[in-house]
Amino acid sequence: MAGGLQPVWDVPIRLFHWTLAALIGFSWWSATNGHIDWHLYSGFGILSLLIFRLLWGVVGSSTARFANFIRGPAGLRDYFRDSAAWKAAGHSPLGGLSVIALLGAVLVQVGLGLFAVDEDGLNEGPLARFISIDSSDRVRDFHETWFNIVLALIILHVGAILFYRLFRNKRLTKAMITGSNALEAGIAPMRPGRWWVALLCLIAGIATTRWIIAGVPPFGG
Amino acid sequence: MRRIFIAIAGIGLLTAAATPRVSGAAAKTIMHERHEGMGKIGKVMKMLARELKSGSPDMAVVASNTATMNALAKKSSLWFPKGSGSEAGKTRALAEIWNKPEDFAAKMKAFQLASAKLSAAARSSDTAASTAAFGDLGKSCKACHDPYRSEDKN
Repeated sequence: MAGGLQPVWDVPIRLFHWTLAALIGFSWWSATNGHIDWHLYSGFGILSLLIFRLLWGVVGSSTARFANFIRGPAGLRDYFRDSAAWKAAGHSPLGGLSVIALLGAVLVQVGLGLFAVDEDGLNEGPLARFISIDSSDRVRDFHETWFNIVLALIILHVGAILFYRLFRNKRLTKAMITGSNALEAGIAPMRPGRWWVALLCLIAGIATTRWIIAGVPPFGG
Repeated sequence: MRRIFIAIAGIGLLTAAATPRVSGAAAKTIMHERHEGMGKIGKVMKMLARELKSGSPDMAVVASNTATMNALAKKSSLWFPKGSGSEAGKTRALAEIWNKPEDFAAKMKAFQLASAKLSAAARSSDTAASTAAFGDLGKSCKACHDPYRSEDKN
C-alpha cells in the first residue's frame, strides 16, 4: 500500500469537531454576556452534535469508530512503553482516551444544562420541570462549576497538540482541517463510511434533541 | 399638609439616588436585605415561569405569587442607597448604579410597573395577558441586570 498523504479524518468528523469547538466557545460567550436564550440554542446544537458523534462512532468511518481507538489498560501500557511502535491512522490509544474524556465532559455539561434554571428564572432547560426549583438552582451552580472541567480538558487537548507540533513534529491540526495525513507505507488509511449513514446519524441527533426540547413527550404530562 | 409631606417623602424614598448615604452596619444590613429580596424575586420568577408554562396554569397560584412579587418590587426602591455598593462588602451591584442614578431609577420604575401589570392580569385570571406581562417583567429584570449587575459571583 502506498505511503504519503492518506485520508485520516472524514468530512463528518471534521465538521463535527470544528462546529463543536465553535459552539462551545459561543456557549461560554453567550452565558457570560447575558444571552441565555442563545445559550440554550447553542446547547441544543451541541446535544445534536454529540448524539450524531455517538452514532457515527458505531457506524461511521474506521477512524471515527470507538471500537478502533478505545483501548483498555493493557493497550495503554503498551503505548506508553513504546509509543513509536504505534502507527495506525486515527487516534492513538492516549488520544482516544482524551476524546472519550472530552465527549463525556461535554455530554455531562449539556445534560446538566437541560435541568438547570437561570438565576433570574427567565429561561430553563426543557427537563428542569421534572425536578424542584431548588434542585434546578443547584444544577445551574454545578453546570457553572463543571465548565471548568471542560475548560481544563480543552486546555490539555490544545496543549497536547502543541506538544506534538513542537517536540514530535506532528501537524495534527492540519490533518483535522484537510482530513489527510502522511502515513508510512503499509499503514491502512481511513476506511470511509457512507455519506447517507452520516446524514441519518445527524437527523437522529437533531430529532432526539427536538424531542428533548419538547419536554420528552409523553412523559411528565 | 402632614399627609402631603409624607407623600412627598415617600416619593423621595422611591428614588434610589435620593435615599441618604449609608455606611457601616446600616450599609451591610441594607445590602443583606437586598440580596435576600433579589433572591426571593428570583424564586418567585421561577415559580411563575413553571406555573404559566405548565399548559393549564392555576391562576390562584399565579395571583398569589404576583402579589409577593409586587410587594418585593415596591420595597426594591429602598435597596440601593449610596454606600451600599462594593464599599459595604461583597456584592454584585456595580458602581454604575450610582453613576447613572436617573437611568437606574427609570429602569427600576419600569420593573415596578411591569410587576403591577402582571399582578393586575393575574388578579383578573387572564392567562394570556399574564403570560405576556410575565415576559415583559422578565425583560425589565434583564434590562437592569445587564448593565448594573456583575457577572462575577465570587
